[in-house]
Amino acid sequence: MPNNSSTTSPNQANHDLQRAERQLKLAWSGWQLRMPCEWRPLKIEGAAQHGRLMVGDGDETLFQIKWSRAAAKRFDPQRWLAHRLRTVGGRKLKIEEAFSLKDFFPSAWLERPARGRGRRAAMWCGYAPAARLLLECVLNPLALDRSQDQIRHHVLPSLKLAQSQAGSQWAVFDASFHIPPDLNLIDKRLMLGDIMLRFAGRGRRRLAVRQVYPASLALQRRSMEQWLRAWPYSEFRRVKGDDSAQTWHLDRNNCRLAGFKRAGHKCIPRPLGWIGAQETLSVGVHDEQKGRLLLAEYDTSAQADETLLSQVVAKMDRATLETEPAP
Amino acid sequence: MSPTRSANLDRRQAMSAKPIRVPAIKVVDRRKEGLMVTVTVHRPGWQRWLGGSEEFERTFGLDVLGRWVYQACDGQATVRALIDRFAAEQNIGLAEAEAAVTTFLQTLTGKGLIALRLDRRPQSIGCGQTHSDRHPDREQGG
Repeated sequence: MPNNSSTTSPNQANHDLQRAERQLKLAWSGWQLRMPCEWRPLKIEGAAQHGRLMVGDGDETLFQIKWSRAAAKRFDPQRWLAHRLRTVGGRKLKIEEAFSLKDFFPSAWLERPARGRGRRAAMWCGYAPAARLLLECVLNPLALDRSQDQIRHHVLPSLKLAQSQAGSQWAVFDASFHIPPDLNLIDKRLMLGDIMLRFAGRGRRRLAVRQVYPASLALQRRSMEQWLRAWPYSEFRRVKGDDSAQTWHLDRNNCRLAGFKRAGHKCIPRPLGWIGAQETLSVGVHDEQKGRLLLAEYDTSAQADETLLSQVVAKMDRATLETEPAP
Repeated sequence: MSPTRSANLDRRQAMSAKPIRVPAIKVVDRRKEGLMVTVTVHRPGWQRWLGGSEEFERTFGLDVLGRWVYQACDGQATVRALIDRFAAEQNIGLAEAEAAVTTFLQTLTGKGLIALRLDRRPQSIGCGQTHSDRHPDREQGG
C-alpha cells in the first residue's frame, strides 16, 4: 500500500538546504542582483539604452526587469515616478516607502489591488542617478507567495549598480565578466556551457569574451588553438598573414593558468583590404580549478593591448556565490 | 506506447522520479571516450506486421558526461539529486545542469536506455500550497 504521508527525506532536506545557501549573481546592462541559484534568465531583449530581462525558475516566470536610460538633461525622477503611477494603474495605486537602496533613489513600490479573481499586481521602480538608469521590476502576480516574498525581501534589496568608471559587471547563468568602461554590448550567445558576449566601443574597438565549460569536454572536441580561432560570430574581416598561436600564461591568485595567444591583422578580402584594417589579439587559458576555458579577443585600429586582455581574462569567474550573507 | 511516455508529469513529480538503467546486453567502457551500451529494443507494431522480428539490438555511444549520467541512474537517486551532483562535479550552475541533465534523461528514456521510477503519492508544493492552489484557473478550466 502506498504511504500517503508527505514527509521529506533527509537527503531531500539536505539538497534543499544546499540549494538555499547558494546564490547566483545576475548582472546585465548596468545593474546587478543576487537570486536563488535555481532561478535563471528566461528571455533577454534590448541593449544598453533600453531592454528587458525575464527571470523564472523551472516552473514559471517570476519577475521581469525593464531598464532604460534617462535621455533628457533635466530629467526629474520624481515626475517620472508620478507618471508611472498614473499610467500603470491610475488612482488606485499608492507609493509605498521602498527599502533603501544605496544606488537607487528615488524608488517606490507601485501596487494595484486585486481585480476580480486576479491577484495583487506589484511593481518596483527606481532611478540610479550615477548611471542615469531607470529600472522597473514587475512581479508575476501568479507566482507562488513564497517566491514573491523572496523577490521582495531578498532579491530586490540586493539590487545595485554594476557599472562604474572602472568598468561594468556582466553575469548570466554561471559566468561572470568584468568589462572595461566605454564598451557597449552588441552581441550575445548564451548556450549551455558556452557563454559569449561581444562589446563595441569608439574607434572600432571590439571586445569578445567567452567562457566554455566543462573544459575537459571542450578540449576533447577541439584544441585550445582551435578554440582561439572559432569565435561564434560572423564578420567580413579575415585574419591575414601568420596568425599561429603562441604559448601564453596568466598569473591569477597565486596560480599560473597556461594557454595560448594569437595576434594578427584583420582586413576585408581583396581588393578592399585597405579599408578599415584592424589589429586583433586573442588569448585563451584553461582554468583547471574551475574547469573552464576563458577566452577573449580584442580588435582595434591601433596596437592591440595585451594588458587589457589579461585583466579581462583574470576577472572572469563563476556567477554562483557560495553562502554570501544576505544584505 | 510505453507507460513512461504516456505519463503526464508536472515538474515536481519529474524531479522526484528515480531514473534506473534498463538491463543492457552489453556495456563497453571506452575510458576517455565514453561508453557503448547495447540494449534490446521492441520493434514497432507496423514493422512486426511487415514481418520484422519481435525485438532487435541497438547500440548507443555515450560521451564522458553521458556515461556519468547513465551510470548515476541507479534507481535510488532522484532526478533532482542527479542534477545537484552533476552541477557540483562539473562546476556549473544549477539552471544549466538542470537543462542539460533533464534533456539528456529524456533522450535516454526515448532510446530505451533508462526508465523513470515514479512516486505516485500526492505531494505538497510547500508553504501549505498544493498545485491546485497555485493555479486555480487551470484546474477550473480543466
